[in-house]
Amino acid sequence: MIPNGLFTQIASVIVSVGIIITYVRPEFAAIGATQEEIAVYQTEREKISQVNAQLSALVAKMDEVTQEDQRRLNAYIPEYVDEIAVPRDLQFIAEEAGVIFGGAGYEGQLNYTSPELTDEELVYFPYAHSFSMNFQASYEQLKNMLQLLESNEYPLEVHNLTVTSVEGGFLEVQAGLVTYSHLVADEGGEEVEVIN
Amino acid sequence: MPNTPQKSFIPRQGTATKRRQGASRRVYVFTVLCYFLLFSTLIATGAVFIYGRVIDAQLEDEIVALNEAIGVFNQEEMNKVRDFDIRLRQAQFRIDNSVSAASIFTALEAATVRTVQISELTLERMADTEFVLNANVITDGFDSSIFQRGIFERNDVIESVKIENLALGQETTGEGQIIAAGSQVAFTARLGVPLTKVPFIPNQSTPAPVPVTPPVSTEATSTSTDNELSTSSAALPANTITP
Repeated sequence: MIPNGLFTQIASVIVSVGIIITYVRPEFAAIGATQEEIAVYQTEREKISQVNAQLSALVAKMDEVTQEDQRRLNAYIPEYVDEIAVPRDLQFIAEEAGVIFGGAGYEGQLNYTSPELTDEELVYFPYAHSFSMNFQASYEQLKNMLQLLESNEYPLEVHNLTVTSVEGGFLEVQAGLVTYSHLVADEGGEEVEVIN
Repeated sequence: MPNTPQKSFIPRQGTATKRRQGASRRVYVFTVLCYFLLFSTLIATGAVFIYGRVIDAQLEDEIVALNEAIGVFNQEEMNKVRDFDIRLRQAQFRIDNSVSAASIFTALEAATVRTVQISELTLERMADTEFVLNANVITDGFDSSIFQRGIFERNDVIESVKIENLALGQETTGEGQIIAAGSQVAFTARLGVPLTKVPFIPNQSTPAPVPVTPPVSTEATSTSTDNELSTSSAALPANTITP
């Protein structure tokens, strides 16, 4: 039996409006906010899933690189430059080219970057290290020496070269060479990683 | 008194009881609206309450799923991939900018006339843009100097030519005796050679590289990722490759 007196009807209207205002509307708003939150979580989860999938694909791709190719890469851009091994290699190269090796030494790390790179891309520029060497050679031997430097297993870029004539048709050559490393050791001797 | 004549002009009600008509039920629009509103509100309240719980449960599921997805992510593998990518790009960048210094000498040979001597040559690489050559040139006269300058300017490899420190000298013997006064012209040729003009192109004529030191092993100090790479490379013998 539903009372249908006027007062009851008015009371029911007031109660209905009260419920709508105090519960239904706020709850609707809360549901809306929760739905938005769910959408955000879904979006983020999809992104993370994509990253995970991409990471898995990249790891699989990286694992496909043969050990020989990895070794070549590590040789081309070694983690750290060996300050003794490089002059020794220069001596080997000089002997191979038949020049009179005068000496070689490590000059230090260079603040050398490429103007082509933006600030964000600077991480892709390896650390440059300078070495000096001098030798005496004939002109043909000098060219042969330069070709051997070019075809080395790791870069030995000629950044400075001074050629002067000496007696007997020989040339006195002083060269400044640059090679690169993936990482660099800081001043305290602690090794610092490029990334992170 | 059933036989009492009815003289009154007021009609009297008969004794027979008339059937009483039932009370009319009036339905007001306001009443309908009121109850409609009330029941709608109650139904909506229940629905909102249930849907709210469902949505909350869905949110919790999403949070759990997100945490699981985050848990699957492997930071170590990410670092490994990034490290590998950076090293690859570093190598690629240097390979892209690798040049042949020997080609400069070959180009210089082609751009030098017979009567010209180069007594001293300095070469400097300006970042990854160009080589700047300073050649101390001695010619047997102004004509040769002009001719030489023209050849330098027309050379495909040499992009810029600047003649400096021009001086008229005299040709002497080894003992310092003058052979011909005023017959020698000396100048410094400043030549610009873009790196793009002398790229390093490995080919069959390129000499085999000299066996060199294997890459530095950093097992003791580097990360586990680096260790793996270093270990794998250290296990292989030193070889000879052409980059």
